Amino acid sequence: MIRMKKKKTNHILNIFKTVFIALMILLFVPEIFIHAQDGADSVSAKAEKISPNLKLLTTKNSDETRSLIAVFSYKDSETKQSFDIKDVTITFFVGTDSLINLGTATTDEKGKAICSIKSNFDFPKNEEGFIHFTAEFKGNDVLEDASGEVDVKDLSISLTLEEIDSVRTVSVKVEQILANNVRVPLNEVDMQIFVGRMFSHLPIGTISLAEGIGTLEFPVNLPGDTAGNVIVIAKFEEHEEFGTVLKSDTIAWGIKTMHFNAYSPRSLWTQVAPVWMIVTLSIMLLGVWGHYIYVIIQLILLKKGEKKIA
Amino acid sequence: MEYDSSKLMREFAPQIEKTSKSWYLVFATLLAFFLFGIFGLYTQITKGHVVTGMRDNVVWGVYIVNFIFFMGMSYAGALISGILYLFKSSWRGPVIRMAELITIISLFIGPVFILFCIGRLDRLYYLILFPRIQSPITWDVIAISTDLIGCIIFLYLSFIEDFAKLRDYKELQLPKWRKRLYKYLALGYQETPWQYKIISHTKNIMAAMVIAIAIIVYSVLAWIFGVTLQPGWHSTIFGPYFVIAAVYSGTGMLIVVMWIFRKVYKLEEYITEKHFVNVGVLLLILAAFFGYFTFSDYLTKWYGSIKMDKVLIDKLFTSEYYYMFIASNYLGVLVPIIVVGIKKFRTITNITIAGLITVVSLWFNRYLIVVPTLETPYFPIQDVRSEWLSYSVTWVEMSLILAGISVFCMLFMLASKFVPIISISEMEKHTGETRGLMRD
Amino acid sequence: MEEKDENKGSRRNFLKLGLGVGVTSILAATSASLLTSNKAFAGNSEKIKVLTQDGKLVEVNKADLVPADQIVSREDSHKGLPNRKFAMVIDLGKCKNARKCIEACQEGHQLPKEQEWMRVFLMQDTEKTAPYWFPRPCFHCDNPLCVSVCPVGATYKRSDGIVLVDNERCIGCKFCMTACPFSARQFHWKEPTTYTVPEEKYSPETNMPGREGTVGKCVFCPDKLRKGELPRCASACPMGVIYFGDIIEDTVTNGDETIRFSELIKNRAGYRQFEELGTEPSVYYLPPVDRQFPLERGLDGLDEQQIKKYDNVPYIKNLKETKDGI
Ligand code: SF4
Ligand code: SF4
Repeated sequence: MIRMKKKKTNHILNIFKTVFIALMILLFVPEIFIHAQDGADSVSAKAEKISPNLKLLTTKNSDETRSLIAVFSYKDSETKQSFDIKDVTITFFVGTDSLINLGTATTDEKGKAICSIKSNFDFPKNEEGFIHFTAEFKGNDVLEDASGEVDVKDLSISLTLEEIDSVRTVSVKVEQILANNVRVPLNEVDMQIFVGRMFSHLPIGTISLAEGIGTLEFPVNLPGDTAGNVIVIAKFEEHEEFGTVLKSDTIAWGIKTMHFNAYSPRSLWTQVAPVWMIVTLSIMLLGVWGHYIYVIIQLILLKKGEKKIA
Repeated sequence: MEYDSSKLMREFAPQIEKTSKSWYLVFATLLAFFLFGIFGLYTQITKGHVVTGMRDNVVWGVYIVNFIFFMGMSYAGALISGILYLFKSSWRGPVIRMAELITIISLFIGPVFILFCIGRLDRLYYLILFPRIQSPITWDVIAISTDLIGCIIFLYLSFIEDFAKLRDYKELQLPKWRKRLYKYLALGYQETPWQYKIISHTKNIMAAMVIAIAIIVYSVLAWIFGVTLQPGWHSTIFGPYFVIAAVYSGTGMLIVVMWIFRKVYKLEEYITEKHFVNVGVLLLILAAFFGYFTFSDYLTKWYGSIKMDKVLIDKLFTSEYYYMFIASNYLGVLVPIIVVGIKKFRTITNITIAGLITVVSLWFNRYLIVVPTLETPYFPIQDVRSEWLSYSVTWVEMSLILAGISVFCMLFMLASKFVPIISISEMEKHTGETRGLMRD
Repeated sequence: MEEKDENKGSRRNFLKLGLGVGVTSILAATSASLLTSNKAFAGNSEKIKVLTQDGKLVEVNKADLVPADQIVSREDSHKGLPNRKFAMVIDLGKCKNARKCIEACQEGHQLPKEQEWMRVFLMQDTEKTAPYWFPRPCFHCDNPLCVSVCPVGATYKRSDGIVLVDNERCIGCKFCMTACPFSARQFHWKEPTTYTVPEEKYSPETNMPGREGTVGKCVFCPDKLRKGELPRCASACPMGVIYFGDIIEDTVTNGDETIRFSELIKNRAGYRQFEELGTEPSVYYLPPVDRQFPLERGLDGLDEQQIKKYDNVPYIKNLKETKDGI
């Protein structure tokens, strides 16, 4: 009976051992492989691959070119930290059935790869007017394949800046361009108007489009550059149907700005000291050192006198 | 009392000629302290300023305290010897040389302490290469160097006559080179009327210069603190306050030095109780002034109690600084006043003790100006590093303080082997007489 | 805990390194696509607008611009960006001591963990008033006392308002540290060990690498500004507490929201800390009203030692006392 028990415990112990070793292997081996890759190129197929995210965005620029922006990143499920992955080649396609290769681009340190497409390129559209873009990453030894896609409708914005009855007016006309170049004005949609700023776009108002048309009064007290120029931008930002679409124009509607470092005449932090300080200091120094020199000359005379006596 | 020069020479020659064993012993001890300081400095240079107790809040510590302290003492000589000389005080003879020596020696030591505090000693010459006139440190560089040169000239002028006497004193038992050196330094002074005129004329000029510059130097030093916005520093009274504190500590030091040399070289005949009392009275007047300035500075801060001033004053009166504050600002003022003010207490020993108390309490007074202020910045100190919260002196700083004090003593000892510690010419010329004020 | 951290680090390094090895880098414009002949691919001719020296907007090819990581020399760092005057607005109502600004700054400037150019104080003006979190960069004062007192011109103010320190000129007198009333400056008490930037790449604009015996402080990230990006702290803040912008064009942004500076200050009663000291900071604060988080949220995730540093704040004192009482 006792023997039996012992045997049984042994048996359980053995199972335990096996499981433990297996666990250890599971726990450490991927780590070991990962570390091995760290220095050398030797790659093991057994290594756990990383599944990255590929997000595709599209922007229709003011000059009618279109940019496809792929953002390539990886989110650590444990730490919830995400990293941008750089130096990855992304291939861009357009179309649903027959894919057209638009080109490749490599991600930068922010994980972004940009593909720019000329304005006169004729995109294939489906019946509803959507263009289908795809971005693909083929995968390599450490990263799994990834792809991203986006469907957008083509949109045309025209922006007019003019003074109407001495009111500076921003007018927009927005139309969807569907299949076969059918143009449909956009209705009952709000569009934001911005001015370009150093770090971002500053919203100055919203236009509610009616039959694709709308106007906005430009604020009078907005600073521009030294010549008063401002960039006015009409924009949809990451719109679910159109992606990012913008139209911009430069006009001298801002207040002219001229920044120079205005300092009060009494400020002391400037490179050059204020005049009174230099003058005071010079007078004091001249006075004192003048006396020193006088005394030293007297002493030299004293010494000279010695020679005469001798 | 009339002293004639040959008697004086006979009296003082042994001081220069012979060096006693105990002199060497003391000197060697001091040298050991000095070398320890050098080791401390070496540590600081190789390991960086982390070895000091200074951190980002208290960026200036005892080095700056010592800098102010020694610069303050240097004032003793400048002002005392200058004023005593200009006003031809009859009793100045025996003390004037000591005062001058205090000046010049502490003027050498003081600025060295500020160097310990500088992060990049290798770039020190940038101060001259790229000076910015607006900075009080630039003012300080200019003022201290001007002061140093002025004091050296003044000291030298007062030595010329004695050098001539040493040269002419044939019985002097000294190696040949020493005698030749005296001859060279005496500039062929023969006490002819025109030579005498040159010396006394230039001495008058330099005495006036030295007084003026010393005031400037000390004010500039005060402005280094005063121009900032720190609570406790940003005070218009700081210039004159520092000047008075400086003369005060210098006078205290003078009394101590007088006492030591009187004992060591048996100068009882020359330095009498009268001298102690006279310098003591000076000390009393300065104590009153110093107390007055201290009082009015803290009173205005306390009465108004702007937030940061209140924080600072609370700190001074409630934390461990309290005893230091009492010791430096009460005892340091009251003891000299009581000792000298009440006739019964006016003995040489008592006055010396008062002088010593003055010197020590003034050191703490400076500590209380520098450190607590830096410990109470406008934004609260919130740091995980405990050494960042408050200041405490480390052994490196301690070793350098000791080294500074021992160099002070060593230079005094060396000086006493080079020139008579009492100005022979002064004693001879002006004993018992009072000449008019400045001669042209 | 520590081990885990290490793992994280190596995994992250691996991500950076391994990918560089695994993939041959191909220039963005090269393409083997079918469409090159069709000239659909516009290449890298992206146009952007930039401000010129005389403050005019012009359009240039992005490719013509200087590479972003070019180091600005010591001399050039004295010139500010033309026609700009930077300012920061910090919304105290949104701060919950997440410390992301500090971390981003430390990472970007390779500072050791204890050294914080950006700091978050727990402020409580009196016992009766409410405590609040208070992020404090260098204020880049318009009347900077630190610049006035520098004896060698090692610290200077540029036309765009930024105050910088030149580590190669600084003699380490620490006068600027006592002159700055805001404890914004820090001294390198010993040879710093955290810098990987080589010495030849030193620029006052990043103040890297720091050197023993010199002073460092928040620089407002001019290296980022030159690229048209927000300073590290502003873009790192998860709460959007820190707005940054150019007050000449009257605009500040926290990355999500772009507002006119004057309106923000007007509507939210913006103020400058310690205005009475007259240094005229370029950093504005929005009062800690309508708090989005209770104050204690800022204490979450701090260890004993870190909480200890707030011991003198009456609020924390009370908190500890009641805790002990129970
Ligand atoms: S906050 Fe301090 S360091 Fe910064 S500019 Fe103002 S005074 Fe200078
Ligand atoms: S520490 Fe450096 S930057 Fe500061 S005042 Fe001195 S030299 Fe100038």
